[in-house]
Amino acid sequence: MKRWILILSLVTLVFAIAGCGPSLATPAAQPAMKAMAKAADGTLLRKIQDRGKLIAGVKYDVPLFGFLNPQTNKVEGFDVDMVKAVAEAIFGDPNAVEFKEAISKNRVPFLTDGVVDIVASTMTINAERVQQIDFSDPYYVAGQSLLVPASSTITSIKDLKGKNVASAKGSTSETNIRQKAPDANVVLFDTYAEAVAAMQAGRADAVTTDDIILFGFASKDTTKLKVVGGQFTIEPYGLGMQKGHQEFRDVVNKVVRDMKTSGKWAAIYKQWIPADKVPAVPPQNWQDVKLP
Amino acid sequence: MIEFRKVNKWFGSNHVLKDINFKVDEKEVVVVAGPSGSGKSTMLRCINRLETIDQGEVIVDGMPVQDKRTDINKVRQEVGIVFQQFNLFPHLTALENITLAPIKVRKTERTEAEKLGKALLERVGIPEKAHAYPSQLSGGQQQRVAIARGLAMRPKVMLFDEPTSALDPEMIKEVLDVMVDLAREGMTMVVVTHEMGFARQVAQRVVFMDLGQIVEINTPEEFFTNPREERTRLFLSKILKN
Amino acid sequence: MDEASFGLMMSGLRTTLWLSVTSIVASLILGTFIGVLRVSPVLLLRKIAGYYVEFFRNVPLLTVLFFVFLGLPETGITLSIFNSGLVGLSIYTAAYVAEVVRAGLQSISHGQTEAARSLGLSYAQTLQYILLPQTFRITIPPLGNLLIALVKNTSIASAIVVPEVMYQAQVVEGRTFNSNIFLFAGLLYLVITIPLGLLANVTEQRLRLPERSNA
Repeated sequence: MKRWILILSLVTLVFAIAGCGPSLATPAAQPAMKAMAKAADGTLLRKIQDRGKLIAGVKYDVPLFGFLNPQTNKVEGFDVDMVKAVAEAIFGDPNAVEFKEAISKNRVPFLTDGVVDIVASTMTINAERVQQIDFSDPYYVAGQSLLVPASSTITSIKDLKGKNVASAKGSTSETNIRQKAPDANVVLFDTYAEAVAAMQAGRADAVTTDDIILFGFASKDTTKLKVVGGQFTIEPYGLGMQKGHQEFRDVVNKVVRDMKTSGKWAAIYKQWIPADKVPAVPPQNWQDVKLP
Repeated sequence: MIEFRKVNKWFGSNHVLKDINFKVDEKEVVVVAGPSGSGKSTMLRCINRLETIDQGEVIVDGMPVQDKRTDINKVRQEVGIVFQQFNLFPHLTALENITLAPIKVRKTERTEAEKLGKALLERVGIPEKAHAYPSQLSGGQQQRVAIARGLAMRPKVMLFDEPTSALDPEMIKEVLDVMVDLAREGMTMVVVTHEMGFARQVAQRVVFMDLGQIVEINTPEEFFTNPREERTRLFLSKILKN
Repeated sequence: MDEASFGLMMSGLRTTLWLSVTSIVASLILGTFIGVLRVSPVLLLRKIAGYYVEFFRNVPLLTVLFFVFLGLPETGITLSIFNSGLVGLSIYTAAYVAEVVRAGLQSISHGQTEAARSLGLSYAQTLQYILLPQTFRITIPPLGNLLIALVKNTSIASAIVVPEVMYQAQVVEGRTFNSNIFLFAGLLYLVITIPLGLLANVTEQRLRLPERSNA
């Protein structure tokens, strides 16, 4: 009997990872708001409205942003909440969303091929990507930072001289830290999880990469780990959409702007990110995002 | 020099040595004869504790061999042994086979050990084979090196465990000649063998064993011409026929 | 390949060479010791050595390396990164060496031990002068194979950030997105493994005893 439960849950997990589990599980929640008026025929927005749900690509493996919670079997996080806000604006129902797992490799093709309507997957807005897809206004500014043991005296990248700083092989974090802290001794692991384990075993003094990943580790045990040093690179995240759907992009941007002004953005930030304080809202134009 | 006192030994339920009592005096040559499986090799191997015993005592040069407190390596330095299968060390030359124990156990200088080794090879008649490996020697030559190896520790006793049984007939004599010389020089020897000619020639006594027991101990003359026991007679009639 | 990448790969080669040499020496010594215990007259020692071999032959090298790297520090033993690789590789490979040595020792006729002990050599002396030299001769081919496998296994130490060839190749690949670097890395391993194989052959030839030539 126990074995059957185990097999069943494994099967469920496999389906969930394949991208058809959690979203279908909750189709009919009570609309809390009124749906918006139907858009013009032939537009993407109208297609979405006729379908009755938004199809969104999010990550399933990034805690705090897009993470398939194994206990609830639902995806959750900052990115997920952004998508839900868009769904709420279109349908009056934050749960009118079908989530698909979008890994870094396939998220742009997902949009260009029309597999999903929108991607919220910790995706940095940059000049190269802007050629391929449309972005919303920045909804989060990530940046490279430092994760250290709670007892560490390291407070910024100026304290890294002669210290072992762990990162992952082939990451931009490695290139960045070599530039920003040339005196540090960089050690490279296959994954960030290994880098953090090595630090906890006393093998490294700090782990460096984008703060959203570091916050993910810190959130597991805030008594042992902390994120310090602010951001020494900047990565403005935007919601990605297929190019050329002005009407849909306007809706999405209005949602982002309203969230920033209404305080909802700050609430979501506070809910997910274990930082000391809530930062200022990101600027409207991604090119205006500057290092502090 | 060697004394067995009521020695008993079992291999499992097989009683292989039964109440063995006998003495070997200094400079005595004793031949042990008997059918295969009679326990004669086992008895010989008890003398340097290659076999343990279950009851009784074996005393060699005043040392109780089977006593745990006896330094067995001390006993073994006094007791040379020559095996049926030679057991030369294949990775060492003839000379190295001979000098190893003097150098490593007796702590003899290498040059001195080599001088001794060469003299011993001379004595066994193959000085020209000093730097040959065992695989390059005939069986008879190997056994002569093995005898020289045993002598190199200047033992008080030499044991021979069927030293000619694995040899081609034409090589038996060259090994026996060395043993006869050794006996005439006054070495104390215990020889397990079927070579009755050797027994007649040099042994002071012949021990006849059967089924783990000593059946008869006699002089060679009496043993061959007028054995006391029926079993001895039977054995002799069998082997002398061949 | 740019100069910086080449420099990294050469420094990786130096580390791999040194890690290989030290691990070979350490695993031969430790493995021989455990192989000798495997045939020890003392039952307890035989058992301990047996458990050692069974354990390390049946776990992946990567887990051993991670244990030495991340687990040991929790018990207060923190080895340097290089030494973690050295220790992990050596205790792992020693299990295989021990099995080769055990098989070699057991293939030697018992008469050799009897002859040596009868001359008054102690058990240790018998091992040192009689049994191990013969064992070594007959085990050179399997030992050679093991040591080549060991050199290749040093690449797994890249996972615990030992800066050897594979680690540097991954770093270079991450920067240049040039996967051909792994082909180059493979060539660097050949620079070590092929001479090692030749060395084993030459040693075997030189130590070969003369064939029987009935004189």
